[in-house]
Amino acid sequence: MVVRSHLALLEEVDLRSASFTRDPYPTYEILREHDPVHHSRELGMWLVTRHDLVLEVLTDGRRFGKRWPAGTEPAGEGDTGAGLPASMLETDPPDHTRLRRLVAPFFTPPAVARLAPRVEQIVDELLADLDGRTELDVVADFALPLPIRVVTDLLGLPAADHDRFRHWTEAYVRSFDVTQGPEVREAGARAHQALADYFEVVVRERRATPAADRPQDMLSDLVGAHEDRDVLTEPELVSMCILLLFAGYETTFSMIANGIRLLLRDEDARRIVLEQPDRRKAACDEIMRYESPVQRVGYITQVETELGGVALRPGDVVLAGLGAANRDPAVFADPERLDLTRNAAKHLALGRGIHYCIGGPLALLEGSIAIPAFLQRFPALELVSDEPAWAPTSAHRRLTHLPVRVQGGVAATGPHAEESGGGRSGEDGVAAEARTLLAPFASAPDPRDAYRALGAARLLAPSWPRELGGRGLGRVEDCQVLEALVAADVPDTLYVTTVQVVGDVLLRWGPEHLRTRLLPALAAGEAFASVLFSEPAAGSDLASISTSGVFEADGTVTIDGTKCWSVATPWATHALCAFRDAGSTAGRYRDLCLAVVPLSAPGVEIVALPTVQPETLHEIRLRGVVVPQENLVGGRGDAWTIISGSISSERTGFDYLGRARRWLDALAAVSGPDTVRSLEDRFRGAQALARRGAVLADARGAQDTDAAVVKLVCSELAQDVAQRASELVAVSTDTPDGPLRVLHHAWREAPGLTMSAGASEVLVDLAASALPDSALESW
Amino acid sequence: MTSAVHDDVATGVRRLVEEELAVAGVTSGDAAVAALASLGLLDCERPEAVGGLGLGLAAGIEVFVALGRLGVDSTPAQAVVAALDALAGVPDHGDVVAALRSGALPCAFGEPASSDHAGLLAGPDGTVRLVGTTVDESAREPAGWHARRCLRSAAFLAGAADGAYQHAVRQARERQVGGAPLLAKQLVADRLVRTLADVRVAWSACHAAARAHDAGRLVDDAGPAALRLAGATAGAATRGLVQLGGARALTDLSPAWSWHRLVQVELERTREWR
Repeated sequence: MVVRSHLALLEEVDLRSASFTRDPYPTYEILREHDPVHHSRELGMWLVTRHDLVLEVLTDGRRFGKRWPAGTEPAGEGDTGAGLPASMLETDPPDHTRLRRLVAPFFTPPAVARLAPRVEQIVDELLADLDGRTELDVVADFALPLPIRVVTDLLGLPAADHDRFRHWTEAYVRSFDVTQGPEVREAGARAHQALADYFEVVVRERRATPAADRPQDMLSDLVGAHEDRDVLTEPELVSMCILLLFAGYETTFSMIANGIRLLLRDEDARRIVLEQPDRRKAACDEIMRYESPVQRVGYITQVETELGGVALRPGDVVLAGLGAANRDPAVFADPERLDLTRNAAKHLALGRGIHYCIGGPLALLEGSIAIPAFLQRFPALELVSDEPAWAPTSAHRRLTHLPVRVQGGVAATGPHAEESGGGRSGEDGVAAEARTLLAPFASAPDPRDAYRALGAARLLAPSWPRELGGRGLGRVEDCQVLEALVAADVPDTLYVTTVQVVGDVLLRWGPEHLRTRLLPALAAGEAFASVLFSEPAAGSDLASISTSGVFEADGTVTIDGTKCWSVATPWATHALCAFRDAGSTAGRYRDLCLAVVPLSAPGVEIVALPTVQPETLHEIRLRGVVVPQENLVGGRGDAWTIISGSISSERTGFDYLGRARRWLDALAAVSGPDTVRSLEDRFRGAQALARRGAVLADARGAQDTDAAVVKLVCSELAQDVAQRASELVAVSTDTPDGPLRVLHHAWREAPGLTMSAGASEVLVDLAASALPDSALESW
Repeated sequence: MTSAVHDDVATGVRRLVEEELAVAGVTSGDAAVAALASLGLLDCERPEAVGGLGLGLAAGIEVFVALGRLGVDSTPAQAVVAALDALAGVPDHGDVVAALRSGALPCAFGEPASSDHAGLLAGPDGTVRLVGTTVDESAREPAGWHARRCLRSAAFLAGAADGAYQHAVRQARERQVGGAPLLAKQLVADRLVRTLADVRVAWSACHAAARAHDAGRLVDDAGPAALRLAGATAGAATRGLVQLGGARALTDLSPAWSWHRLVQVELERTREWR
């Protein structure tokens, strides 16, 4: 077809786009047909999508391998980030052969078959824990715990560490995706380092145990290989443990979760799995073909060669598109259909060649036991939403959660809400759930109970990872919660400071102990945070900050100074405080540090400052406040970089949209809908703009210009609505009831509406400094 | 292609039209119809079941965004696409559909039909008629037809606004005043940033409404609302371009003149739709 061929040739495939992550298959179809060895200019890599060509890459070790040919290695490559050698996943023969031989005996078909009773036992235990539930998350409650328990059993690791493994491996695996930004790669490196530290201790402890007393598990065998047979160095041993841990469950849990989702949508397929036990493993093959958990695997071209008519040079990176190959109609008839009766043995979901997934048979065993057992235990389940919550990566087909409910039961959790059209129509999922949860707290002056209600449903910070109290969703959902808070007239500034500012900074730059302890408390509504940046003599000019911190030899820092214009601080338990390193002379910006200060610490005094607005501002006096240096966020002198890099996260526009919506409704009630039509049109446009901004920010991170434009539009809209209110409503010191009370609030809020995180003039200046050539080209 | 239209396809359609029409040197509305026909894009919105490409409205409106950005009159193309849209509910007129799709049967809104020119009449009673060709019976307007034609026009205006914005930014960067680019003047920069914001708002409203349409959730008023927004934006953007260009922009020596005229014609043509 003319259009498709042109699209393939002209369109740079954006592997980072949210739409590609949601549904990569139409793009695969175009590429397979017209550009099967596609060069991504953005990544500088080749994406291979046709089955025969992918197979070539996977199996021809002479032409495609895992190591860089001499002279082609990019700067910064060469180790795994934790000082460890490459795992067998990343090595070529002969190292690969030596390493694979060590663990291969554990994964032979007879060895795997012997694990079946244990897998069945774990499945039964997990299902027993779910008895009586009418709503659950298939990912968190079943698909994820099963393979983690199986692989930690195999390795001989303690069950108490499951949550840590999951957290680390999620971050580590996500960093494999070459399309992810530095933030994700850094998080992956941190997680990998944590895994390496963990296994170094485990190996040391195991080696301290006499060989005869060691448990009979894979770890003992590998330690023996290191000690007795001298075929495995200690760093290689640690590297192998890490590989076995993440490879042991990542693919399996996705296959189980994807499979359950697909079968809940397809009654015929479900019947095959339930009624034909001999087809269960083949069904798992088809599920992996249809939604391949690993969508692409990177290889490095070793020699001058040609692939699909394209000339490749040594060092060229080739992404073998497993997910694309598995939908190739040249190999699989009607490939876009899930067909559990087909022979899908030619699928490449587990790779091929020497890097064929060694744990593949175990994955199939787990899937063939777990999926039918789950469906038998819950025969009347339904998906809460048809819109799957895919993790924000196109390298994996990984669900972050899969809410289901027993038919006739109560709704469980919300899905990814669609970016929708005009007005308030089409809002569902998280937005609707948040509105329901917030209804009892409407107009509550103290928002904390409302936040706790959201926190209990993991909805206060839905974009945060599950282990930190969120749902692993996106910025769109965070914004929907914010919009719902404002719509319910629940004070939102504490939410903005707690989740969007402090939470965002801690997620990206926080030390591990604050990430793992404070963030879950913030997400649950058990702790709250405010921001201490501005000062009386400096305003919001960070370069003029005079609050100082003395780094003491005992590992503490003593902070003195005065902060101001702080909102919601009396409700907060912690604050993110910017101060100047008293011992540094690096410069006005490079002296600045950030630390989390408990507001209950001695020396903290909070003084209210009356304002013309409904909301009170505060001055915070810090007199010799001592905090541990481990509360430092980033390193000494990193504050400027962190604050500059995070401020766009706050400029979503949704707080203003929520206000504008509430005030427009009140205006329409008082003066009739015809009087606000042009404002309604602007509201639709601003809402579409903010949603688009959130979708793009999810896909490629918040961009300063984009965020500034969104906030400019939304805050000025809210201000104009408030202005219209003051024109139509008689201002009175008596607080009227109903819509008039809402409009009275609008009038009082109007003066401060464009101020937070930059007034209009600042936003215009920011956008003007990087004015794009076209308004739409990157939008 | 799945029924779910996604951004990559929409962006690809826009780029395809822009590149192909630029290469072909298309400057008139009629030439645009011919070029779109050769690309197979005149019938790209409608479902495959009725012979369209099934790309949906979110991709379809990008054809008109592209025409707007190029500054090419979209009236003839809008008429053909709207006629095809109207015929989705009229069986047994494959010959007319084929003629429309190939660009061989030009259309006009509300104009008297001649033997070689079909007239598309949208009546106040919700009927749409193609007259002057083999289809002359009344057909009930397909659901959402008016909203879709509003969105195509809105997309065209959003595209034209972006075209005007691009010219304005270029001019503000190139033109020197007092030894510095015009863009260094804060009031000029302020105006351009606000135009940037308005263009994005207008396009986002079109895009969101089209996506809602493709998901079966279009709100009735979303099409006219997007058209009102895009119309106001395009009018302001082209006025701003003329003002930035000074006296020269009041003449045909400057492209500002043609942008302004293009937008004013479209605003006048769609006055009753809003």
